[in-house]
Amino acid sequence: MTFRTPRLAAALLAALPLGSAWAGGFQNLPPSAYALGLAGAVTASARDASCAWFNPGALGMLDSASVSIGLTAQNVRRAFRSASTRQAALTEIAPTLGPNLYAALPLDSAHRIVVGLSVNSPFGYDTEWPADWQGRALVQRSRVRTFFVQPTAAYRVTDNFSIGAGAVLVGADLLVNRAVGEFDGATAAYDASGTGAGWHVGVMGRSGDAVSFGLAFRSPVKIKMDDGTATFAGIPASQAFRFPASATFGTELRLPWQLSAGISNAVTDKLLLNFSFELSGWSAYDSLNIVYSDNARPTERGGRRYEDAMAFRVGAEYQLRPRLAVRAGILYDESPVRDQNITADLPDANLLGASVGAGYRIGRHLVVDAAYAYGQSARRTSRADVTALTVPAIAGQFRNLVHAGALNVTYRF
Amino acid sequence: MTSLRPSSLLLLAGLTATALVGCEPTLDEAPAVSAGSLDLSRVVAIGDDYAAGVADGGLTRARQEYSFPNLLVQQLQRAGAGAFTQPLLATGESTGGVQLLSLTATNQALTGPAAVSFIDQEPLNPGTPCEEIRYRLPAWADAGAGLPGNLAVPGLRLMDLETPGLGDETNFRNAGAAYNAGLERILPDGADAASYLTLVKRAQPTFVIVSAGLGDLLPYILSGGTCNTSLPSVSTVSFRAKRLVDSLVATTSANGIILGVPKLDVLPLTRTTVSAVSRGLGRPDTASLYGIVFRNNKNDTVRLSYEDIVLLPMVARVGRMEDATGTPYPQAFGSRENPLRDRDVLTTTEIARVDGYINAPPSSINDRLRTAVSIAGAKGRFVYVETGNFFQSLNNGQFINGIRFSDDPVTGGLVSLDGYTLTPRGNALLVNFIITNALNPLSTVSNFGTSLPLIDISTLPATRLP
Repeated sequence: MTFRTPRLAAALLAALPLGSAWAGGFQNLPPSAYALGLAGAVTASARDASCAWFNPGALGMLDSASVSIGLTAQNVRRAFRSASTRQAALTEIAPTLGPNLYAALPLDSAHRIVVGLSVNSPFGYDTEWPADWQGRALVQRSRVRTFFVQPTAAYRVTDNFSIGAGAVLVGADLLVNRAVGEFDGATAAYDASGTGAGWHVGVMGRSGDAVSFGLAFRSPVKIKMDDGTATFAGIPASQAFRFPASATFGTELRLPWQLSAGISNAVTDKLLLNFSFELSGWSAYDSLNIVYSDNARPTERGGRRYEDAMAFRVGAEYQLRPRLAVRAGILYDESPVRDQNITADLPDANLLGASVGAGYRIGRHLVVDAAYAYGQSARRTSRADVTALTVPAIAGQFRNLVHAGALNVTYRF
Repeated sequence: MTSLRPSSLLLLAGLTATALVGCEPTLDEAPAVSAGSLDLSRVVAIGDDYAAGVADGGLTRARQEYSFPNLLVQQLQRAGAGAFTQPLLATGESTGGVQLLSLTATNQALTGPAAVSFIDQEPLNPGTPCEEIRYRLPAWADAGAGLPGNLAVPGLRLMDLETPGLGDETNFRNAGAAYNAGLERILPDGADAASYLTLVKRAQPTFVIVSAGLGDLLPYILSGGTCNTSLPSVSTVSFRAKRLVDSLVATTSANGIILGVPKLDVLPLTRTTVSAVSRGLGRPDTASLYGIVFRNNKNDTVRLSYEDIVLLPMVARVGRMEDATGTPYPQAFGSRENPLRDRDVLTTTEIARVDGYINAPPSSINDRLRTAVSIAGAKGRFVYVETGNFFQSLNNGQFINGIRFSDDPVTGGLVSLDGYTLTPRGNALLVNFIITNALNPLSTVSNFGTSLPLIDISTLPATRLP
């Protein structure tokens, strides 16, 4: 029985660059009930078909066909206190629901070649501020939804080592509503959707039965949205040349590359300890610009200037009874948003979260997993320079609170 | 443990989690609102157009409600300030000014005079180019109930502060006597003979908001330097500014803020140099290529220089086939055949003359005000506010909580159509400027120690456009 994992974790934590800008952004909590219960520390786990999402290398370690269907619900509540008026505002309760489907199928009798499929929505946000909040001309509601499909295949090279790779196909849509504060009662609505593609690879290895490790990489995905529509309502007739009733625009959403490394250690027959480290290349997300066709309006620039960000995830699973496993985890999720670019549509901050979960086996084939996670962000202060005429900002303090729940039903053939 | 069922375990975990976590993120507590060392039981506003609430050149009930003293007092009232009454006009009444007729393709305002609600009228200087009508306004409905908190009246001049009978109706028809219609309508019976400074003393203020000085100069400015040309000397006018502060020190126990006069070059009214107007017309930026011609006081048609100023109300008319009043004309306004009038233009000489009164060391109005608040007796009681810096900060535009503001009277949202007074949002921004620069900060010149929140200026009405 070895206890290497905690020491490794300590070493990795010590290597954390303290005070650096804080894998946050608009990545959701892990889109699977099993993974959520472990706070997402599953890079070195080959438990079910969800590794088609978390680590394609782990897919090769699966020894049976399985299919898992689930639903995650995540609610991010954001609070703001204005530095100028000292008034507080709180976003509406708007849970984002994300269905997921994971499937794995060994193709040969030795189970060395496994194909898998992951369908989920791992990125997104939905921020809806009260209609009368101070920043209503910046954003009233801002929503991004993503839909990922990853056809993936893995090959177990030796009994203890497997590699995998797959395609990443993404669909996304964007919705922004805001007030046009120059006029009383005027509003702007932006609507766009698009697709993008990328790839992912991963490896997983085992040393004996106790320790396994995993490494996975997903490429960045650029989602081009060319068919956006901006609608302006309530504009005085004389100003329609500046704010047309409707205009088409294009924009680009950049999702980060992600590198995750994990280790899993069966400390005893019943206790499993997992650790994952994740690096997200958010620095590709430089800006969200609204570029109008035919110069109908000047480009609206939304500087993001995200930085790459890390996440640390630790999870433990205890086999309480032969059919029941209980789980818990903690995660620290660094925000990619720099201090000077905190925006009201996504006022991200470093998140500290904890999760609990359980898995219950019914009969020989069916497993039901459930999990709940809670996270609270640090308080973040945004500043605004009124003389910066292209930087939309509001000065004040933001803080986020996240509740997430997940339920998955997995059938093993 | 083995006796626990899976469902009860989950329930237990759920309950524990719910107990540990809240439903709303908790933020730092807001700083407590405080009046500091100020006694805000009786706030009195003193002065001219700005403090009275003038916008678009005139006063209406709505504009009074958005006057900057009223908006400032609303913030002070969060810190316990007393009631602040204003001599409100009746709904529908107006003291005149300008109104928007239409917008040009380049978003410039074509304006015309707004109707005045009056109970009597008297022509002044009949038969001269400076002919105008003096109006007598309907009385304030609560005039018998004592002096209002807002004692500021449109057109108040520093030179009239100590003149008895400024608000006496018997002076109405006496063209040679000082008369202020805004003051007359608010004075209770029996107070007519008192000078303005006496009224201020009678109001027993504990905190004053002072904005004066522009009233002496505006008639000259707005007439393009053609009327009211016999201004007293700079030192005579500015001495009255000092007298105002001295009187506040001697006859009241009030603290307060004293606003300086903005220099002409920061006001949209006079930022319309010939080169700027030419640019606005899409003409090359040289007066030699596009000459704007005016008829000077010697009745000669003369090409305006590069730095001469076309007064804002006429800017939108330059180049149009109409005359100064909007009547169609076969030649373009500003051409040699259809020149601007002398009163539509401030020449560089006239601008320099006005600026000499406002801010030209050592004895201009602003210099005197700065000195008066810094000497023993006044120091610590009054804070001077550099109003020009406020207007200057609007010149390049501001981007506030996602709303673009500038000093453009049409699209900027802050300055009203007259080019020198403010819209409701502009007044709120001025209040924020005052709180940020004069009230909240602790410094050698300001030690009131207040802690006041700012106004969300987007809650005030936006400029209405057709």
